[in-house]
Amino acid sequence: MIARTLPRMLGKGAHLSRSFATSIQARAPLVSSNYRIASGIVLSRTPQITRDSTPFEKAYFDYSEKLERQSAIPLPADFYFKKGSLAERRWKEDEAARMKAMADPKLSLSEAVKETQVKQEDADVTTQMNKFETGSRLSEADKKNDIKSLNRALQRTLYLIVKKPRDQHAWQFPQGAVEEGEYLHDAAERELEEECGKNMDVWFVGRQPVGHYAYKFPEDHVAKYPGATGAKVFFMKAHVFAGQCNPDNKEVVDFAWVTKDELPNYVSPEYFNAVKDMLSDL
Amino acid sequence: MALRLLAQRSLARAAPSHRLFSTGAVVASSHGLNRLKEHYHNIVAEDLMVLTYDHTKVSPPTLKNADLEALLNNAISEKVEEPVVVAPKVEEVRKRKGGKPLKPIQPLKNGSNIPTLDKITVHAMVKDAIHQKNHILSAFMALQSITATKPEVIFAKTSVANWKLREGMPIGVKVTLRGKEMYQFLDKLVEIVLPRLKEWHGLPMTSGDGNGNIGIGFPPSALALFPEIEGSFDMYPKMTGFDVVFNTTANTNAEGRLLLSGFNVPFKGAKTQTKK
Repeated sequence: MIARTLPRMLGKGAHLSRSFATSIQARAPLVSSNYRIASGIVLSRTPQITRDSTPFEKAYFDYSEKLERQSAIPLPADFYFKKGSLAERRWKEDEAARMKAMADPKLSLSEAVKETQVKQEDADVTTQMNKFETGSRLSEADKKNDIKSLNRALQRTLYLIVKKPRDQHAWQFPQGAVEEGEYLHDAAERELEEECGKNMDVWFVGRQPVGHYAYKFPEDHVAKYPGATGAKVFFMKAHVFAGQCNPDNKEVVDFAWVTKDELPNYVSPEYFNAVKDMLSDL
Repeated sequence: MALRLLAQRSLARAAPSHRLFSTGAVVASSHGLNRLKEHYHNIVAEDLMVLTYDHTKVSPPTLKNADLEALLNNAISEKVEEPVVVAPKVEEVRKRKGGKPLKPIQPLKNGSNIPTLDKITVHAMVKDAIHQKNHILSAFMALQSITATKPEVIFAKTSVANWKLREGMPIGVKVTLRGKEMYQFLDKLVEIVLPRLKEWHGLPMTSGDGNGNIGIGFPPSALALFPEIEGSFDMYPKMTGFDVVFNTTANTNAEGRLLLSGFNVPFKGAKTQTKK
């Protein structure tokens, strides 16, 4: 009885109740018009690098860059560069490369300059000392196809999905029942910690759900746990900054970081249809 | 006849084989894309939508396919309307505390009015130009260097006798940045200049003009932190302070600050204030 009334008395700060009695029983799950209310977490890792541009975007950029140069005021070179200085010599080399690129429609202005700059750096001893190489756009995890790594698909948004120990509908976003007197965002934080461990630096975007999904329980489940005929899951949006999912091996046995395109391979079509509009296309 | 020939020729030119670009295999890169713009459209805009969403101010849904189930239920459950006594409508007069001028009513929230950066204005007033006009040239060249756009000269609109300012005198320079140049300037400001400013912990949490536009004033020393100026610092006889105003489409200061913090502009939080 105390277990039922205490959270209600405490009202909004329901999690406070745990400090009063540690032996308190788990609170009843929240049921509203025959549906159990659950809180789901759409935990995403945002793109780490700018996406590849399409060939059309590249061509458009190259074309507009040349168009701009034609109508641009010439650079007052004697203002910016001292006569006979290294900087002036380099600028003249860049300018020659630009003039060449202007004449040839197949050459890109900025890429022509990049090439001469690489040559200049190779010739210079000091820049060679602290020369840096740009990394590959494909990571090690991409090559191994390691779906548990956060370093995969650097250009895309990755979403965390977890596997429950059952045959049907095993893969889904982390989710759990909202307890009575608990807020949706509190429940989301608690569930994520319970299912995926404390080893993640997570930021919840606001306190409002970004979408919902309602489903009916299978009949044997309703017979076993009467009181609700289905569940409504409200999804909260969150970003992960660091750390990794550490499943508890009870509620959750496996996890994966997947893109929106890969998600239909794991979840049912109904589930994907319900969640697809919350997910970023990239 | 001539028209037909012209059409034939121009259409022939538009054939795919005559285009200057090829869609063949090229090395994958982000060539031609703007980093901050991509960041805004892929991450910030969606988060701003969630963060600034208000269930009490939502536009009616604009679904392509109407919710048939809800429409049917509505039609079935239609009840006989009872005559309702309507109270005489009192014309509502909007007022603002302290008799201040009214602000426009905020539009209802939907996907098409997420706050976005409209333009950035970089502006410098050169007081020395009152005595000697050519002092303005230094500021002109400096703003042109850091924004890659030709500034416009601002002339005094009124005379101020105390400052010895007369109407029509050149007194400042201004650049308005939009689109690609705007994002490039913001990128430079956030990544290179702001982290190197001394004794500056971020914009105050009260910044904003009330309608979501935010401005920062910079001392003359900040101009030298731009990479374009750093290389040819000796060429500028005088460094000037300047203002940068971020014009956003946000309706409130809070939304404007949210948008700017999405671009990594630092804001002084409560924590840094208590540390002092």
